[in-house]
Amino acid sequence: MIDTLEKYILNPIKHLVIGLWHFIRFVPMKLYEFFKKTPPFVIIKTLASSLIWGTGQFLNRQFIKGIIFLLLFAGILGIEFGTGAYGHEFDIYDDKIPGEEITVELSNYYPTWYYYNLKALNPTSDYAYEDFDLLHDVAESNNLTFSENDLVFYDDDGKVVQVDNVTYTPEHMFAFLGTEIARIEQIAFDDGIAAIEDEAATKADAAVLNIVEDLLLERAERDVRLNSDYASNLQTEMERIATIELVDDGFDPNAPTFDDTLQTYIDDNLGTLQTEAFDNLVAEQYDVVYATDYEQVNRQTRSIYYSGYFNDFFDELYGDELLTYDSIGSFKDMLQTRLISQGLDMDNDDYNKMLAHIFFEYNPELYGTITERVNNFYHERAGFFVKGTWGLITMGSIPQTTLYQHQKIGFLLPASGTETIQASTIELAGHHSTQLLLRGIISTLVIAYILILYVWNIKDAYKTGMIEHNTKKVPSEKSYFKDLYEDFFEYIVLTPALIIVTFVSILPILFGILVAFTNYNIEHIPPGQLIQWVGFRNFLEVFTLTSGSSINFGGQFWKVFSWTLIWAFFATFTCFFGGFVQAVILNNKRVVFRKAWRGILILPWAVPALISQMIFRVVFNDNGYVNQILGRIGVNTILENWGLLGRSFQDAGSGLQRLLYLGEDSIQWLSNEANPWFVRIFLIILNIWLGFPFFMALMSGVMTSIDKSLYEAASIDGATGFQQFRFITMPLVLFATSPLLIMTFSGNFNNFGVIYFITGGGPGGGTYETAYAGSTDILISWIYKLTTDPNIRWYSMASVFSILIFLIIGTLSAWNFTQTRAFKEVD
Amino acid sequence: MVVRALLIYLSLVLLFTHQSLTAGIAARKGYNKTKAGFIGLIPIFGLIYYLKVEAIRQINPTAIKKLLGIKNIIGTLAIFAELVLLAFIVLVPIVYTIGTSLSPTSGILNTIWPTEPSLINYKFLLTGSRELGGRELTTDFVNWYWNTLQVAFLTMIGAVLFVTGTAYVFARYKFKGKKAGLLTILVLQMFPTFLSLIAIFTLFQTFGLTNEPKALVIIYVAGGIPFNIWLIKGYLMNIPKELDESAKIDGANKIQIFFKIILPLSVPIISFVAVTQFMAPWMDYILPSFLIIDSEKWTLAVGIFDFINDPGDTNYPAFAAAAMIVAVPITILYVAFQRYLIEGITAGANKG
Repeated sequence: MIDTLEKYILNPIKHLVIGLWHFIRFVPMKLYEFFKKTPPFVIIKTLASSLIWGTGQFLNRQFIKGIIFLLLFAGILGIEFGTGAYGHEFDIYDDKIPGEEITVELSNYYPTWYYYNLKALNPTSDYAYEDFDLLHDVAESNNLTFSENDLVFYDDDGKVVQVDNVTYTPEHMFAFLGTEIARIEQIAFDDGIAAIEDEAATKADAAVLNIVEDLLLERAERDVRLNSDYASNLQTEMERIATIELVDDGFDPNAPTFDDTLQTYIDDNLGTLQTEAFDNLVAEQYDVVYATDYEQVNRQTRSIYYSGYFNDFFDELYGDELLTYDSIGSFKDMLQTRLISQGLDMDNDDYNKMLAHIFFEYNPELYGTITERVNNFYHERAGFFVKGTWGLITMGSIPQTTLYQHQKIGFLLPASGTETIQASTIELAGHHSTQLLLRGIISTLVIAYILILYVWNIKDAYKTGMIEHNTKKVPSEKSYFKDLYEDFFEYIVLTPALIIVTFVSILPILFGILVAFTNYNIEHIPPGQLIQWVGFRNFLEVFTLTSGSSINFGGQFWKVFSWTLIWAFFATFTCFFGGFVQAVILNNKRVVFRKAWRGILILPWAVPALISQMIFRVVFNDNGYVNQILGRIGVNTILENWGLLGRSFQDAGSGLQRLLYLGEDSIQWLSNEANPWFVRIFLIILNIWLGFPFFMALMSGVMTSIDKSLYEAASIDGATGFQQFRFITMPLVLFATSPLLIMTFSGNFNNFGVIYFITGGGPGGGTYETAYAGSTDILISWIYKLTTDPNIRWYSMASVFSILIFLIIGTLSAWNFTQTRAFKEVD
Repeated sequence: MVVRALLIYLSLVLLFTHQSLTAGIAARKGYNKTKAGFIGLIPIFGLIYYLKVEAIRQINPTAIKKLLGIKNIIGTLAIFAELVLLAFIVLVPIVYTIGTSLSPTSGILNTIWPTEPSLINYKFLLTGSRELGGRELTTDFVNWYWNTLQVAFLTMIGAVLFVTGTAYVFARYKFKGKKAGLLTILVLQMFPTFLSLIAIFTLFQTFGLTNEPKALVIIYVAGGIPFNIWLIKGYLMNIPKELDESAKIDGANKIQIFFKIILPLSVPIISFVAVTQFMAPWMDYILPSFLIIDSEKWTLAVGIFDFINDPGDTNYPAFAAAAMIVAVPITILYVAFQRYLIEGITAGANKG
C-alpha cells in the first residue's frame, strides 16, 4: 500500500515539483542558448511560419510542403469566414423574425389599387377614397410629384407618369403605414389613447356584469329547484298569480265557488303559469343570491374575463377608428380583396412579420430596443471558431424574446374563410445555451487538433532551416513524404476511430462534465431560458446537508450513496461466495451428469439479465405469482397471525415493529413503503439469483484446472478431504478470481438494470422532498431519473453525481488495473 | 399443493442420490460412469443391478462398503437436496414465464402453467393486433424486432471495421502518443453513460437524429471502441511477432502484413467482438428509451419493458412471449459458448 502510494502519488508529485523548479531556473538559459545557436534567418523562417502557415517552408524552398501548409491555413481561415457573416449588416427582419417578407408585387399593388378607387376617378366604387397622403408618399419615393387637381403623377420634366409604372417598395409602404397610424392616433384620439381605454373599460365592465348576472341567475335557479319545498312553493306562487289575474277579471276572491274557479283556471293555463311562477321564484331568490354571492362571483369572473374583454374592446374601438381612415382602411381592403380573389400566398408567420414591420415603423423606439437586444456580434456574425469560443465562455447572453406589441395593430389582418390568420406573438430566437456549449466544445476540440498541425508546421520550418544551415543543402521533399507515409501509417489507420471517439465519446463526456458547473435544470431550459456557469456551487450543494436551493440534493445524496455502497458490497460478496459454494458443491465427485446440472444452474446467467429482471418485477408484483401462491397455501394467514401482515401502512409503527412490517394484504416485496429495508434486503437476495452462476461457472473452471498432483500429494501426507479443500482448493480459487471482485463491485455500483427494472427505484420517490430518489434508488438509477424524466430534468446535479461516480469507480478501476498484466503492456 | 410439491422434491432428491450411489459403485467396479448414470435413473433396479454385477477390475471391497455407509449417504442426500432446490429456484421463474407466454388472457397468470395453453400471444406479436374482451390490442413488435436487428447488424459491422485496424496498430507499432491514447481509452471507459446522455441528446437534436433508431449505431460503435481495442490488442499480442518480421523481410508492407497475416489469425477474437457487439443493442434500454420517442421506432428492450410498465395497458403474457422470442436464441448461444464468453469477460477484466 505504501509502495503503491509512493509509486503513483508521491513520486509524480516530487517529479513535478523538481521539474517546475528546473523549468523556472533554466528557461532564461535555454532561451539564450536557443537564440545563440539559431541563425537569425532560421528564426525569421520559424516566425514567418508561425504567422502565416507555410511561409517558412517557402523560404526553405520547400514549395510542396509550403503549399500544403498554406492551403491548410487558408482552409482554416475559410472555415471561420465562411461560416461567419463578418461585415454583414444586421437586419432583424432577415435574421430574426420568422416568415417571408411580403412581395414588391403586393406593395406595388397598394397605390395602384388605391388610385383606381379614388372617389374623384371612380365615384361608384365600393371603396371611394379622398385622401391623397398615400399618393404623395408614393410620388416622393419615386422622385415624382402628385397633383391633386389633375390626379396624375409628374416627373421632374413635367411628364405624366402612369400609376402602373411607379414602384412602391415594401419598406416605403411599411414606413408610410407606420407613420400614418401614429399620425391618425394623434388626430383621432383627442385625449390620446386614454379615451378609448375608458370606453373599452366600460364595455368590458358591462360584459363582465352580464356574465356575473348569468351566473347568479343560474345559482338562483338551482337554489329554487333544489329547495325541498320546491313543489309546494311553486303551487303557492301559481295560486297567487292566478288569484290576481282572476281578481283582475272581476271574480270575487271571497266567493265560495272561487276555489273551484281557481283550480279550473290553473289547470287550463298550467304551462304559462308554471313558467311565470318559476320566474317569480327565481327573481325572488336572485335578490338573495345577489346579496350573498355577488362580491365573490364578481371577483372571480373579473379575474378570468375582464382583461380579455378589455383587450378585445380596445382593439375593436382602436381598430375601428383607424380603419375609418382611407389609407389604413384601404390597406386592409386591399389585403382582403387579394386574399379572396387571388388567394394571397402568405401564411400566418408572414402576416405577423408584416405586422411587426409596420409596428416597428410606428414605434421606432421599440425597434431600437429590440434590435439592440438581439443584435449580438458573436452570435449573429462570428464564424465557427470565434462564435464557438464565445459560446463556450458565455453560453449566450440573450434568452428568447417574445414580441407581442405588434398585436395591437392586428386589426389590419384580413379575414379568411379557410385559414386562420391572426395576430400572434413572435418568438425572436435568443441564444440557445446548450447548443452554444456544444458548438463551443466542438470548436475547441477542432482547435486542439489544429494546434497540433500548427506546432508541426513551426517545428518543420525550424528543423528544415537548421538542416539547410548546417549542411547547406535543402532536404528532398520526396523522401520526406515517403518517410512521412511510413511514420504516419499508424496515424492514418487511427484517424477514423479517433474522429468517432472524439465526437461521440469525448465530446459528450466533456459536455457532461461542464454541465456539472452550470445551472442547467428544469428552471433553466433553453431556448426559453439561458444557462449560466455557477462554478462549484453544485458540488458544494452535495456537501451541504441542508441545501439552500429548492431541492435538498445534499441530504439525499448521502442517503443514496450509502445505500449504493451497501448494495454494491453485498451484491458482490453474496454472489462471489454464493458462486464459490455452488462451484464446490457442483464439483463434488458425487454429482453425476455434472454438465447437465451446470447447464441448468447457469441459466440465470445465460438468460439476458434485462429479461430476468423484468420477470422478477412481474413475479414479485403485489398480486403477482408468488403472492398468489403464498396466499393459497396459507402463508399470508400465518404471517397475519404473527402480526407481520394485516396492518395498514400508516400503522406500521416504528423501530423493530416497522422493520418487521411486510405489507398490508400480502407481502409487498418491491413496494413496501413503510419498510424500505425489507425491499433493499430482498433486492440483494434476488440479485444472488442473477449473479451467482457467473462465479460458479468461472470458479468450477478454475477448480477443474487445479493440478491433480497437488491433491495426491496432500492425501499421501494424510490430509483429509476438508483439509485439502481448505488449504488447496479455496486459496487457489479465491486467489485466481479475486481480481474480478473489483470489476463486479463497480458493475454492481452501476447496476442500473436490477434497480430500474425490478423496483424502478421505489418504493417512494418521485417527490420533491426526497429529491426524487426512491428508497432503493442507487446513484445510477437516480441519475437516470434526474436526466430522463421530463418533469424532473435536473441535469446539473445528474452530471455532478456522474462525476462523483467516475471519481469513485475510476479510482477503483485504475488501482485494479495497475495490478494487472495489461498495465505493463501500456509501456 | 404444498404436500405435492414436497413429495416431488423428496422423490427427486432420492432419485438423484440413488443415481449418484449407483454411478459411484459402477465406477468402483470399473464400468462406464455415464451409462451407469442413466441406469441409475431407474429406481432401485439400478442400484441392485450394479451391486450384483461382477467387477471388471480389481476392487477394494471396503470402498463399496464405505460408499454405502450412512455418512456418505447423508452427504449425498444433502448435496442433492441443495442442488434440486436450487434447480427449482432457477427454473420456476423461467418455466413460469414460458407458461405466462401461453396464457390466453392479458392478466397475471396465477398457476405455473395455463389451463388452456395457446399460442395467441405469439400470433399477436407477429401479426400486430388481437382482439381481447371486445378491445382491439395492437403492438409494433415486428417493427421493434426489425429496428433492433438493423441496429445490431450495423453495430456489428461498424465495430469490426473501426476496431480491427486500430487494435492492430496499437498491438504492433510504437508511435508517439500511443501510451496517451491507450490511457485515454481506459479513462473513457470509466465514465458512466449518463454523463454523455444529455450531450448526445442535444447533438442528435441538432442533427435531427432523435427518433431515428439507426442513429444509435454511431453511439454503440463509438462506445464499444475502447473495450474492443483492448480485447483485440490483447489477443494480437499473443500472435508471435516473428511472423510479421519474416513477412517484412519478404517485402510485405504494413497493410499487407495486416491483411495476409494478422487478419486470418485473429478471426476468433474478431468473431467474438462481432457477436458481443451484435448482442449489445438487443439488451440496451437506456439510450433508446431516452432518444427514441415514437413507439413504432423503439428497439426491443424499450418495447418489451413497456408491456409491463405502461400503467394503463399492461399485458403480461405479451411481455412473456416477447421475452421468449428475444431470450431463447441468446440463452442458447450463451449456454453453448459459456466457456469462451466467461473466458472473454475474465480476460477483459484482467486486461482492463
